[in-house]
Amino acid sequence: MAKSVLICDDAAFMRMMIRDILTKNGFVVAGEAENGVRAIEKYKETNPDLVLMDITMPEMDGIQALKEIRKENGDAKVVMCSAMGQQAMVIESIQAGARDFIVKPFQADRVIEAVRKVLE
Amino acid sequence: MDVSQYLDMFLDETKEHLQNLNDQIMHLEEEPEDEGTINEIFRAAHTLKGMAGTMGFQRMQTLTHDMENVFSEVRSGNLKVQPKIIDVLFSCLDALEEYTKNIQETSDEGTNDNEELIRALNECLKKEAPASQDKKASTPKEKDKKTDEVPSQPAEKWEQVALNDTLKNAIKEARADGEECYGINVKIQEKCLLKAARAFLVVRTVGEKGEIIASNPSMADIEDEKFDWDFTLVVISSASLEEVIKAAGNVSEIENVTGGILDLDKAGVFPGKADADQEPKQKESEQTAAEKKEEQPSKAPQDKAEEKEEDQTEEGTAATAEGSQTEKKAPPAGKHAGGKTIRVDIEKLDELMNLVSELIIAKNSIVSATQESLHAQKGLKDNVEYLERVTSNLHESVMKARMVPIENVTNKFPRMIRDISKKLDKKMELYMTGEDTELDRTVVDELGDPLMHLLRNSADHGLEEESVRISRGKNPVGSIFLDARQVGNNVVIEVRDDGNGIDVEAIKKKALERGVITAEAAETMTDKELIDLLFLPSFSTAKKVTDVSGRGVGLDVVKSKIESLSGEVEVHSTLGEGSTWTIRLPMTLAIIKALMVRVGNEKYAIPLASILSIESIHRGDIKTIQNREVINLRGDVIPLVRLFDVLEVVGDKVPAEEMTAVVVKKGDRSAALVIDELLGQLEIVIKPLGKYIKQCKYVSGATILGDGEVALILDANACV
Repeated sequence: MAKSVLICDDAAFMRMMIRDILTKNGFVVAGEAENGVRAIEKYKETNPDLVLMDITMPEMDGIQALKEIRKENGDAKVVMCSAMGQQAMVIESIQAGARDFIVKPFQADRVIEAVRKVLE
Repeated sequence: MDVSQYLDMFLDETKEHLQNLNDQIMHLEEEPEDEGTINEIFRAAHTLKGMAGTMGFQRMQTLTHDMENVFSEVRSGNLKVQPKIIDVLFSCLDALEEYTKNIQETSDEGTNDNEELIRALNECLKKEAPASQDKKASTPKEKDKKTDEVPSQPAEKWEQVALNDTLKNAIKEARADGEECYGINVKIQEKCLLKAARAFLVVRTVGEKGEIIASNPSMADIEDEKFDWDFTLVVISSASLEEVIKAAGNVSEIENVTGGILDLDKAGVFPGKADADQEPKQKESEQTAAEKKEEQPSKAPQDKAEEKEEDQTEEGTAATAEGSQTEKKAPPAGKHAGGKTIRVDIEKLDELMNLVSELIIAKNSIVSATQESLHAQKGLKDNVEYLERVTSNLHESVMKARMVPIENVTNKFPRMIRDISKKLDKKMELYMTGEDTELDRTVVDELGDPLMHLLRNSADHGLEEESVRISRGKNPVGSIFLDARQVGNNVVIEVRDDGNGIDVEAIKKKALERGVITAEAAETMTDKELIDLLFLPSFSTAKKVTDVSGRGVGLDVVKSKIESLSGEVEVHSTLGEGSTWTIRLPMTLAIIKALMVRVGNEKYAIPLASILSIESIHRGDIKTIQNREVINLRGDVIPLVRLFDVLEVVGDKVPAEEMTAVVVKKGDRSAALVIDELLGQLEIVIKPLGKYIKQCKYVSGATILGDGEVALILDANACV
């Protein structure tokens, strides 16, 4: 069965892009969230196999959302999306249980690699 | 990756972010210490950078990156916000807007590197925060140093990890307990970005298999990215070597993992390295790896976590019990919180609107067919009524979908006024209310220029010089107001200032000079008529032409633009106290409710929005003043317009004792239109007359009635 992915990013443009990358590679998009608060809501609602989580988001940032989601489900698989220069935050999120991270600007194969490896 | 399909969305979002940045930086200028604002700016710049990078707009990315750097320093408190920085940031926004414009027009960002700006940004950093500059400069050096070290080391890499006696004992103990100690070397792919984080992920993954007791370089150095492309871990684990290697190798972007069982006799021997160099590392490795993991990275994130908490409370969203914290003036960050939206091409909405129009025409014809047929069954009539309700709801929904708040155009004004204020060296404040007033998207798009013109006009000509204001006992800081509100089916937008007002005498003089009016006419013209001269083409009263306005194109353009949107513009002014420009616009353009009337043998539609009342007039009530027929309507004397004559309707004129008149208004004037019969109220779809019949004074359009007949729509404004 196709694995489902929840996409969290404050830029609709980014979400659309990731959505295309994922669907072209046979994944199902469980939902989209534009901030950390919505990400948690959507997570509970859709219970996806994987979450792609942007770090910098309004309302609640990705790290906080990651922590909340991990609280909800200790096995939750979350891959962080970060930009250059956010190393400390990426490390913090790995500590908080993120399984992998991808760095913007994205390359489609990198996104897919990360998603596949984590879902293996 | 082909990104062209995302271009529209990219542009839309970029514009939103730029607007947000503009607002926030304005806010920052007033409150340079506001952390919420600083965070918001940082975030917006950061998001922009990511978007530009993904789309491959490198110049844009570079510029936003450097802006973000500045804000990163501001956020961490190393850099104070100064007027100079604000100016540089505004220039950066202009440059970004330029890129965006280029992208919109040519799908390419252009070739302007904006080196000046980047230099200015870096200068901000340099002057205030030498520390950060050092960090930047030192990173490449660090790399050089390390690359020198790597080659030609004979022993296995994991055998070079420094191990002290405590650790060696721990390994012995573990082996006694049936566990094994491995050394593994992990090489990260060279294309990997954020290799420290990548390494950390490996450390964590391996840490799940066993306990990492030592590493080369130290954990702290790994996290600080002080290593080349590979690093070495010493692990005590009950799992097999293959399992550990496989776990590490499974992490993305890892080139390869090698490893072996650690030979204690060989371990800790590292040829060619001075002890002094290793001393601190050795000390560090005395702590268990677990401890280090805890301690090291948590230092930095802790302050960040605090920052974040504050951030959240400021935006009023934190669900935590931090409510007691006094809220600072909330930055306008709510925009992102907007509800569920999708972007729809306006053309699709136009199409939908057209279909709804057709549907309404079809519905009207069914309605008239059932009314004519006396034998229509009751069920049919009920259904027709139902259809009528549904179509009018549908119409309303589509109309609403097309509505956007005028905020879309007004939000750029504060920045504009700020710039004008600096340029003219006049102090002024812009106060806006009712930005959430909604209008049809097409109207809002067209509204920007006329409003901008009126605001500039107020700022430049309306407001007096500071010295003049003080001598008149006014607040030295001038005020400009932009108020929008909905009044019935209209939206009224007022641009008001507390400046000099319009000098009627100056207009008169100028009009005479230019030969626009004759001396005799000038004597009899009212102030209002004189002020209206301002709307004539190329009539500027500015004493001097400035950069900001007064180049002769202007108010006439404002007027024609507003009229092309079926609106009107008026001005009221008191010399010495200020002027008020009032723009009145219909909310919708395509479908309106109208009163159908019969004049002679013809049917006409009068828009309901312009109707004040319907009166029955007795012939004896009609008086004549200055050769015009008037009636006295509850104390107001208003002109009587006999549509039969004005429209030159063909048919028999029936003189009657009692007449029906529709009273219409335009602004504060009204007129009574005499008609022959009231036919009822109808939703009509406005169809333009087309360009061949442009010069048609009393008719603003046509509509198709239910029975296929065409009726003309009366332009009430022209009748008054």
